[in-house]
Amino acid sequence: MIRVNHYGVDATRGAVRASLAALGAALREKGLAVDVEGALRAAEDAWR
Amino acid sequence: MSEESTVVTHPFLDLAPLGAAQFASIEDRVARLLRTEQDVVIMQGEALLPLEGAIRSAAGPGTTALNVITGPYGQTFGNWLRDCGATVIDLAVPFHTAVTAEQISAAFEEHPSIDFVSLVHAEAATGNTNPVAEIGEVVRRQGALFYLDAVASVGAEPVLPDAWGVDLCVIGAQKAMGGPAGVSAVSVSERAWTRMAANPRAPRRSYLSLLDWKERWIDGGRKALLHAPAQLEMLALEACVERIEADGLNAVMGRHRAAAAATRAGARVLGAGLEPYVYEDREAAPVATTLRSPSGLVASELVARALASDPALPLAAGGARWPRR
Repeated sequence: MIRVNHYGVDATRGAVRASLAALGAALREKGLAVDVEGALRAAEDAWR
Repeated sequence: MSEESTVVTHPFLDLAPLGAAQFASIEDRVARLLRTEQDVVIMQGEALLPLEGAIRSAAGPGTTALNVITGPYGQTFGNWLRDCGATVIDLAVPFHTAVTAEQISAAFEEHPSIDFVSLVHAEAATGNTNPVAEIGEVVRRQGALFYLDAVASVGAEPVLPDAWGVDLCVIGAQKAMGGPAGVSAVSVSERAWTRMAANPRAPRRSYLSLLDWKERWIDGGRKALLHAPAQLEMLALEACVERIEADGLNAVMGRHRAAAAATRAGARVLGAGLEPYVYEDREAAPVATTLRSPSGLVASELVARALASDPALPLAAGGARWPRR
């Protein structure tokens, strides 16, 4: 399991975007197809 | 060279003593954060201290405890309760879900002798959160003592001991509050104090003792501390409560809620088999989002690769899965 903590100052758009982008890059390095841009758009849309 | 000029100080060192008045003031601010009129005791250790102290103080051989297991801490509480001599009824639900008020109600119907309920509000390790307000109604109706671990929920979602009928509510500052891990707090209702006082096995003259704080600190008008406080940790707790007060608790909770929702939405679109461990949005904790790693990939390796780009990212591998049978 992977955990993205939203503790205190990490409960920000920036931390969420950076976490998703880094996970996406790690998955891509493993040879898997990922949609990082789509994920970031979805995250932005869901920020409420 | 004078002696004074050779002494090197540091921001963490040579602090003025933290007195009883300041200690009491920090307790009052924590009480306001919880919107509680109950006594709040700040204990001088990580939250495991009041979590264990509260169970050992309130439970004993005459106790029938409903222990709700929605993650690893529920399992720990069951072990403490058994060690106290309590009769323990475990109610375990898959870690990717939440327990429901109906399940709690059914447990009371099956075991009418239940007089203590232990519950973890949100589990950071599994990323789920439980509907405490609804559960509290059931527990209150049955007259049982309600013990809540709100360490991972406070600051991320509402924690309202008085409104929810929680008798023992334990918080720590190290998660959503962004504060120190070395001190923690517990709010205690009058009937919880009464239960403890009647418990011959409740720790007394012990670091685990809540009654010591009641008798020597609260009943004494909070004029003299039991021992030297963890000064740096207390100052850090005061600072983090001050920051929450300045930002507004609702704003802070809103950020956590938004961060969790955004992470879940992003993970679903990212692809490659990454998906939220907790399926239902309403059961997902705002304090941390847990993700299932893609089949065939080791989560720790994936996280290590992600952290290689930025070690400060709030990512961790592990957590606690529902045991496979």
